[in-house]
Amino acid sequence: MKPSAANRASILLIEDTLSLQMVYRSILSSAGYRVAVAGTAAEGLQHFQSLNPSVVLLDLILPDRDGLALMQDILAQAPETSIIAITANGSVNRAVEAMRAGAHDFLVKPFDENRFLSAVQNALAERSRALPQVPASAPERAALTDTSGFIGSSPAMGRIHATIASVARSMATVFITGESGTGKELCALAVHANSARASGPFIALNCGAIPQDLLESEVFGHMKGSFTGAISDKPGAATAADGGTLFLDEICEMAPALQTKLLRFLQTSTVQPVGATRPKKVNVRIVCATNRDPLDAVRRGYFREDLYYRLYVVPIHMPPLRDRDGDVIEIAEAALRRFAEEEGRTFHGLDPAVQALLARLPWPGNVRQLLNVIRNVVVLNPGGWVTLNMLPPGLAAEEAAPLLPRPIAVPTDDLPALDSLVGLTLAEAERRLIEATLVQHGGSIPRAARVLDVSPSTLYRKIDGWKSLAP
Amino acid sequence: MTADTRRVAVANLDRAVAALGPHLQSPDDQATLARLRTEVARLTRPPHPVPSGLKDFDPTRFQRLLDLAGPAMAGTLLVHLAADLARCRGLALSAATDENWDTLREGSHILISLAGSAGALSLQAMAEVLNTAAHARDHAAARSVIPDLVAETDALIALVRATPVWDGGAA
Repeated sequence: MKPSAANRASILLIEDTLSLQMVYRSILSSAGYRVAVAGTAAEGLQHFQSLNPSVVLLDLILPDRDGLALMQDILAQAPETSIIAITANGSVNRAVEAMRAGAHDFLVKPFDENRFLSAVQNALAERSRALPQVPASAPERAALTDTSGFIGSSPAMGRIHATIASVARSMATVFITGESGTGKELCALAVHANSARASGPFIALNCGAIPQDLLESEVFGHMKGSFTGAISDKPGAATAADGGTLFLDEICEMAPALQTKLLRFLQTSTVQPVGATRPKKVNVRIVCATNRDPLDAVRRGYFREDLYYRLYVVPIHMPPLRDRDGDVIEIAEAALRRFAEEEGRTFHGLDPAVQALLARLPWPGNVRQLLNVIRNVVVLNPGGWVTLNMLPPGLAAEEAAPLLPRPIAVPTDDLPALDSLVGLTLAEAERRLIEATLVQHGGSIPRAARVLDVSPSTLYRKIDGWKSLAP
Repeated sequence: MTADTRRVAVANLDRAVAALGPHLQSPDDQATLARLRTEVARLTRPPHPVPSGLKDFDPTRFQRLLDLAGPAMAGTLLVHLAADLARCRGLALSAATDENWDTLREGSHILISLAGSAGALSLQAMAEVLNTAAHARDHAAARSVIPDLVAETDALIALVRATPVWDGGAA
């Protein structure tokens, strides 16, 4: 639909190639927008300052200056501006850089007219939603306004809060990684709750929990009669999330065929339910999560590389509980208050010995495990101070276990000479390192993973892979 | 279908779309009508011959480019397009020889877009290879793609220059 004359939005197009300038301008003018055009970064900045456009379409390669640097100047002057970065296929990583630096969206050349207009419309819609919340004197980096569900004041969580605050207002896709139980869905909810689309729906879909043959229908919907059992039209998660956020959990578990469809959805912003003859346009922000190493999934061929680059725009790594200094007690006390209220019990708090134990434990199941422990205490005990004997027996047994050794710097002389690795393939060298680390940590995969700075699931997969190679 | 049968069928379609016009009022219907008119107009044009020297060419994309510019601006667009393509050709040739990776990135970046928009799909693919090579500073990959890329760029320039301006259609 064309914008009316009264509310025609102004758009600044910064593109130095004359023929492309003409084409882009024609598309935008035909759609009813007012368009100003600049062929250089200097001219673009000048137009920006005089016209204050709603949306800037910015080619990242300009003759007089790097497009990213220009974008940063524009956002420094007017943080509420929606910038759509334009790049070429071979330099998608530049688009990713642009998104991380605050671009609203990006287009990969050559793009079709529909994708082009859809990106502009989404940027304008997002801006109109965001503007009432952004006073003229707003700081460049907004504070996180809704932290519900996120408890913890450790430096690690402070960094997570800062990242969410800075990306929430953009359309940038957020890719959350972290071990099971670290709060990835809460993080996704926080991104949604702090964005301009907070009043829209938040739809969560666990790609690993839905049978693969139903996943397409769950994501994109289906029409009545399109397959056996489709007794009525179903909109699908992507349509249900229109105007809001679609959270795709365990994204690396998605079947390859559906990955292709998801990629197309991201490129066109349209969904085509199973059995439908026409695609439908939707305005959805994607947040996805996995407890696997996504790049490893790409290398192994489980996850499409182009989809990875589309989605891995703003990565957020949720730290394991053991790395969140002090947060364990804060979370445990908050959970104790909440569960006690739910169960109608009165607890005064955590005994100091309990606090000391909770602070020492490695928490391989992270926050989820801690919450289960506290729930167990509240349900099985009448109230008062939480003492060591109230804790689940399995947990108390760990008190006697030796504390997790911190990684200790080994004198260089004790290390196997690097020369002994020369001649091995990288995969063989990696295997030797992992096996040696496992031996050093008594075969404990979580501990070895911690030292190697990878997730335990990565080690489990690698070990499984070696088993399958064994004669 | 013979040429005459096709012409009659398209003329019937044209009349049907014209008859439908007064009955479509909502903005969505109006947008659909505009698309129908565009497509019927495209079908009324004679089919494009495949230009020599371009291995994979999509004439509908080329025509769409001209349609977007409109009859008044199509000529100017063709002039700019030929000039931009010639500039990319020059940048690619000199930068590959001098190993000037920034210039090679710039030239291939623009060429991807120009070739893709004009429907020269094999040229677009080669420009993408060149762009990736420029980012990776891969001299061998860049050099290997240059001869075919230059040849196809020349073919596309020839097509653009030979396209008659009066009807905005490809030669």
